[in-house]
Amino acid sequence: MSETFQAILTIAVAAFITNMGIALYGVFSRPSLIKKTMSLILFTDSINMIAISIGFRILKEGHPKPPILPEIPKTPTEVEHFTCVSVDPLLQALVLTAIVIGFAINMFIIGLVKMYYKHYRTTDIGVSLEEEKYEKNSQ
Amino acid sequence: MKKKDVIIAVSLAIMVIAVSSALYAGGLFVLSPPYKVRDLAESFLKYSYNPWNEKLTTYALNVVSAIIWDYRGLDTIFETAVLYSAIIGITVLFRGVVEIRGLRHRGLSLLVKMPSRIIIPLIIAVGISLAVYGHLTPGGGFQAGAVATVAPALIITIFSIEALYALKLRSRKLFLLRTVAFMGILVISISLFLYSLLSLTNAYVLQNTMREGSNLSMPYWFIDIPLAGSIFFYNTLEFFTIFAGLTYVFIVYSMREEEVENMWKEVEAHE
Repeated sequence: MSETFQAILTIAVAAFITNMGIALYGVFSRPSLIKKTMSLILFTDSINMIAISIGFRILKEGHPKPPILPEIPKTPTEVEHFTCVSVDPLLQALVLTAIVIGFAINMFIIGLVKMYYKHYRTTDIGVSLEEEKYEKNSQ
Repeated sequence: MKKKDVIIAVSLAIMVIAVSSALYAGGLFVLSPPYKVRDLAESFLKYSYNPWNEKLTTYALNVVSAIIWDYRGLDTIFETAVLYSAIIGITVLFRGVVEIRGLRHRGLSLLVKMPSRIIIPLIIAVGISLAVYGHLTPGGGFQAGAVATVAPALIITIFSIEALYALKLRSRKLFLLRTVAFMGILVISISLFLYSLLSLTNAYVLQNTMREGSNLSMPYWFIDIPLAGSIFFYNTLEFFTIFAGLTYVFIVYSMREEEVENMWKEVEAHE
């Protein structure tokens, strides 16, 4: 059981790291600002997925449960049992905070991209650089 | 330009391989998940709903909600403040956008409009239930707000923004709602402290239920379901902040040419 989980987790984490590499490639070398923003979102999400996978656990028998009590416990032993089967809730809470803050940043970035489009009528980052050069030469 | 792309691609490939091998060797974190959760997580799981230990419990069945609004409540209030400041930044960026009603609009075809009339109220109902039961079932204030914001987004794409104006969802009103709800979160976070000042007892800022050295508590039980004290109020108010904030951003981002015309004049006047 644990070996299967370990193999799946290894493949998943390797996929997330590859995702990070692809996303960084998009941020660095795509000319379009929309593509850059999309790559940044992909990068954040890959890191969040890795962070969640740290909180995973395995059990000797059965599958781990989400960190939510299914019903109101009547005795302290029910809470003890829940503690023995649930996954780590702290990382999920931290990732939720990270998602909200990433969301706020992405929202503002999209606003900036819209302003860029209104000004230059394109989202190509090379256009503004050429325009700057042209302005310098004409002065 | 071609050469630069190749260098970036090769160096990123090297980075991926290096991080993967460091991970496989156990340098970053251990890939085989443990049989036992960490001690901190175990204490959260143990005391989230534990009426036999009144000094540490929060009466919330959803442990993630308990961490977000009680054990690490200050984090979340600052997170909401970050979202608020992002929306203020967008307002400053798009100053001079005026809302004009009665422009020509058609929307999508009838085939899309009829089902979405049924779906949109359901989406809002799901959002409200996620917020109200955020401490009992999977969900919470932010998730609920994000789900409910799908409804205005659908209205804008399917019926046009004029339909949103007809529902009296104007950007100024939404901004006011957002500010009021955020202030509500702050007021609830200091309400027990203010009460303790009046009644001459001890209480902490952001206190939920009884803690060491303070016997005051928010109402944690409603008839036959746990209310989890302030977590319920926080979730409901967070729903309103997120819903109003994101709908405001959608309205600002889906402005039309006639509404933007004055923007450049305004920007030049300010500069």
